[in-house]
Amino acid sequence: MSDKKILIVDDDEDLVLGLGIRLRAYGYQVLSAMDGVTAIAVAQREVPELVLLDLGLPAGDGYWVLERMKSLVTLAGIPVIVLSARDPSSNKERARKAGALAFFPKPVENEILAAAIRKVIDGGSPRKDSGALAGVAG
Amino acid sequence: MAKILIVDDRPINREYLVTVLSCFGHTMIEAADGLEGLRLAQRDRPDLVITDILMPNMDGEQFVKHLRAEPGLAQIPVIFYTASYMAAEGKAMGKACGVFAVLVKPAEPELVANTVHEALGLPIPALPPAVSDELVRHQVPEVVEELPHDVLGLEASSYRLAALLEASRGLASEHEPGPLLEAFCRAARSIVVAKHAAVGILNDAGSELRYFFSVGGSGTQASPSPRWPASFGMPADRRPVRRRGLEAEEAWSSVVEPSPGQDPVSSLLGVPVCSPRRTYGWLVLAGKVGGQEFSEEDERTGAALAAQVAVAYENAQRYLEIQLYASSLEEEMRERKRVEAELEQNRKEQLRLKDEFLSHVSHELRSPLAAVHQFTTILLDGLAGELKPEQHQYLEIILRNCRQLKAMIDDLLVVTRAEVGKVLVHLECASLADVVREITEALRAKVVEKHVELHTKLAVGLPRVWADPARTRQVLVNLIENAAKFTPERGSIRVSAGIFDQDPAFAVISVADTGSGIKPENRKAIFERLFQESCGDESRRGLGLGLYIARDLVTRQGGKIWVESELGKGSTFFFTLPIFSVARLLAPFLTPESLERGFLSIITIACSPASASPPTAAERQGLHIAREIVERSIRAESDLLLPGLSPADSERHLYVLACTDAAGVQGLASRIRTQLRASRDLLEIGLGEPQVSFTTLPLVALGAETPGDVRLDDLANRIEETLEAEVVKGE
Repeated sequence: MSDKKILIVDDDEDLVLGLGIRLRAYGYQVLSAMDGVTAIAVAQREVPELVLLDLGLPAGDGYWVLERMKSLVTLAGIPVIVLSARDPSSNKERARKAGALAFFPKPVENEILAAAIRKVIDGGSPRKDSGALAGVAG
Repeated sequence: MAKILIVDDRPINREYLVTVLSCFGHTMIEAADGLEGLRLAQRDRPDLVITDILMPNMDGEQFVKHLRAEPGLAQIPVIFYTASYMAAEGKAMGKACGVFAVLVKPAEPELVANTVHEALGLPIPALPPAVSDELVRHQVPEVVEELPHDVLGLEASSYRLAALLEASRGLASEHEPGPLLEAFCRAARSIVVAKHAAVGILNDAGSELRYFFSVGGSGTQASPSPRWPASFGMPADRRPVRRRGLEAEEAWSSVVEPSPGQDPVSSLLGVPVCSPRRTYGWLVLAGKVGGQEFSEEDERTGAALAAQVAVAYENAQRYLEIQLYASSLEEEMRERKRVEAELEQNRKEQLRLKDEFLSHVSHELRSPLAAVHQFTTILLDGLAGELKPEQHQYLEIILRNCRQLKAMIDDLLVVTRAEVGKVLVHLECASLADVVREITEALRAKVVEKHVELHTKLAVGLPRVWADPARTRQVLVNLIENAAKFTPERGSIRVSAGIFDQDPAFAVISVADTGSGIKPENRKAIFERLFQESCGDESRRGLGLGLYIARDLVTRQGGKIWVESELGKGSTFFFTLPIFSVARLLAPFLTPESLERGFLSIITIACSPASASPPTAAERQGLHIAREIVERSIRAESDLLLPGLSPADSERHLYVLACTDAAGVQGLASRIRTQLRASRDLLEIGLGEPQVSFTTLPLVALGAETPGDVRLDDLANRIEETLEAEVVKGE
């Protein structure tokens, strides 16, 4: 098991659960938060390697979280990938300007998300693909 | 020399006298009416006064009376200067109030000078004597006076006729009723030679005055309700009326307010103003100048003028009506434009709301779909335990439907974005045959499942097209799925591609089905947004966006889309795409100016490593992103972005042609490299950095002896060959 921590921020319990299962299967440690304020608190406490961030959140939306992370020295360096159901044409650029590394519209194909996570966390070095991972978990 | 005061309401008359008399060194003073004349006379004490007879606010006779009443001015000699047609009246008036002489317009300069100098008691100036002094001074007036009366009358009436003609010309050119009637009033007074004139025009009902004007001495204040004197009968009788003495005085008082101290009016002439159609009002002239009563000729003159003005008034009324009508039309036009703008505004607002709604709906659908997708793949990947084959199969079905749903949501977004031109189409050199084969194979299972046959027929030697393969695939999928939806069991779908016989610069692709056909009235509407042909199979209903998107995508690639259909037999959808030709792409690029530089450089951008296997989806996406970046980096006017020359090549490489030498192309290549390196989009898909290389060739090497010697086709061929060599080198 990797000790790399990924923080999932989403107010949809189902997605937190589902994404969590998959990321654990890939070998990551998974943390979660279901609103903006909690997300900042968890991030400060745990200092994850990556944050997967939804935009529509209670108590501080995704943009608020991005702004807040940028302003806190301990969090400013943590990469953020946005996963959102919002229209990419109007949110992709905005999320990037706010500091997100990437923007994927929901639902995202597992392989694409996995490649992006690998690239961010491990500097793009090839890892076991999802099929092999599935075997590990099973 | 002498000081001379000229009183005349017409500047041109004053100017004439000033010009003539200034030659003799006299000082000239000018007044435009009697009141001003009296004021200037009191102030400047002139040696001589020359005055007109008919003027605003007082006539010549009244003016002289006032002058004589002033102790210091009583002795100043006065000369009347009057229009020729009223010479007789002028002479009579002059005699009555004791003026030195009556000059008749137009008077010869000599006559003016001589008369003035005589009046001043100065020697007659030396002028070439056209006529003997004796004649000028004494005999002419005497002779004139002694002429038989009818000869004088004849002369006067010929002048009067001329004045009448001039007045009617003036009246005819006046379009506004107000100024027209005022001019008429003045003209009538001066031509008939009366002290006062008043004109009244009634409203349509004949009950009230619509216009009233009066001119003449100070005693022409309108009465509280000016009206045609009762004793004159009805204006509608169309008969002129003449009165004298007390009768005249009394009748005049119904037109104007009698003012104390005014000479009583002793003669009156009333003329109805009527056209052949109807009676409009009346004209009343009061106080015949130089006589006791108005003559029969005055009556005729007045009647003629009144008839003229009636017609002119009628025209002016119509002119007003037309103007009103025109302005109401203008108003109507403005209103219509306003309403149209409002409608357009509403339509835009509606469209915006619709798009906002679609965008919102697609967002709301994505979240639950993402969860379904996530858990389905978790199960399929065995993350929750081993699956039985059936379970695996059913989950695959869920996933397929999930993807279908996602595609529909993407469609929704494509449509909302298409409205604002956000969908990008990347044209490249694409193999139409590959696209058609790929799509028919991918859809075959789905179609056959419905017990429908799927046939493909490709023309031999089908050329490559200049199109976006991804968008073309989308169009084909939409058309074939649409055909499958409406084709019953045991039917067939035929997909064909060939050169468009109506325009060989295009390829045409057709999808024919054996479905129910489309009603003629719907053959255009089916390409509209949200159109839904009723379809038996409810579960297969889509969003009604497929054909709308297909049309949009075809149009953006420079093609056309249409349908031919026969009810009960089936429909055939056609769309065209431009055929690829290097010469056509080069035409705007290879101008004489760019060829003059003598060099051609080629920059190659490779996005995926050369290998036998086709590029992955991510590599394809990377190429698209790189293309956008390169497009922004080059100068559109001098550089040209070219696709690879074969479909396989265009999945890996981009080429930039630049008419520049080695130094120039080095700058351009490093600019492109920097831009690619800075791209977050490229980083996101997790690819390595695209490789940028370049090569420079002198044009001579491409077969051109001199820059002017280049034939476009040849050059295109040579460039094509060079590019092909590059491709080979790359592999």
